[in-house]
Amino acid sequence: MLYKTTYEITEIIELYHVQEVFIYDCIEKEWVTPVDTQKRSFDMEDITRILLIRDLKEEFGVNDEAVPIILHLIDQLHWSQAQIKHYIEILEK
Amino acid sequence: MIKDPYKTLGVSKDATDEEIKKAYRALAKKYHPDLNPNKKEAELKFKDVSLAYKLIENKEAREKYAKGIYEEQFADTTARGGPFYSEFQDGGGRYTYNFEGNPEDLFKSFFSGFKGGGTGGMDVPGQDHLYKMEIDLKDAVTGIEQEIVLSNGKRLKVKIPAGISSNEKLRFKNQGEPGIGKGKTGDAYVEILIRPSDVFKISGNNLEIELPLTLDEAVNGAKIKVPTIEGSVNVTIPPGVNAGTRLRIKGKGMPLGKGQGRGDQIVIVHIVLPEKIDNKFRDFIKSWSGTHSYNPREI
Repeated sequence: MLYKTTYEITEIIELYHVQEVFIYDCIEKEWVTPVDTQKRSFDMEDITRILLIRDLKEEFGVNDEAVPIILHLIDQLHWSQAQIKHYIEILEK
Repeated sequence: MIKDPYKTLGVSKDATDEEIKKAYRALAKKYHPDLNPNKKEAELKFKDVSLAYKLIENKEAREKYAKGIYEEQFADTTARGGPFYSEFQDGGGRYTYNFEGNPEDLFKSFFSGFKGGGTGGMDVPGQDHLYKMEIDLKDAVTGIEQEIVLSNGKRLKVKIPAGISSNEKLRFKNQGEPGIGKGKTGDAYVEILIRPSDVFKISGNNLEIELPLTLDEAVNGAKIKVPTIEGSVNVTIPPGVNAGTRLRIKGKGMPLGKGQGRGDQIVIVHIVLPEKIDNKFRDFIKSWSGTHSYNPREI
């Protein structure tokens, strides 16, 4: 699947059926920082993070207090995976 | 053929909204692709579960499904498919970098099971970070200074030189992940992406633009204002110019490098007929062609 580099908020609403107010709420609570903060355009990392937050809240019934904790744990997991991958690459050289 | 949503969710036909939701949540948690990264089977299962839930989530949906008038296409488009967050985290992403972990701690815990433990005095360089920045074509031609916020919260001024190409990466030393032991800090790279312009097209060192002309302008010549990246300039259209003719405006293309000037702007001529062709025009062309026939397909 090929994705564009950045998307406007109207495109996200149309493509992924996300409510505008939900996107602004994610930004307000600093769960999502759009890749271009000035023009409010979003990359796929921002969009998939918004979709993940929607899944957590709407599908799994996670409350607002728990969302940043879960996001932090997920980021920590990805960070650890990236670090391990990096070190393994260095050791293999 | 759609799968039986009751079977997919493992609920009876007389299950309540609450029971269906409970079953859906349990399965969604089990198969969510962000909890099962790189497992295609889990992603497919998650989509099935999501689609099944959309089909029977409430009384109205269940009634429609029972009558066979379920809107499969609607359910399919509203059911949660991709993309998923983990797909964009391979090797780390912006948010991953925001996590302020200590690579040394990670490395120590990684090797703690080995005899001696710790890093064993190893020096490992830190990871490089990659950021992406989109700029307009005009800014790529003239150069611009913009600021980005690094994952560690630091603000970095990015001076984009005139004439930068798309996908070119600018390097900022020691702005990446800290190293381990005496390992050097990684670098930050900013990859520049030039937004495509509606008017100009980059072609090597030149910029191309398409210029529509009326028949009169093409036959008799004209002076026409043509947009360049820095505003309009007057261009003389020679009489008898043909469609596809490439006129050159010197020095209005992409910068060639320090002190080497710039490429050119190429103006590609298009001849446009009037929107409505009336009888007078048709008759004139017919009578003129009768005595001046030519075949543009002949070389």
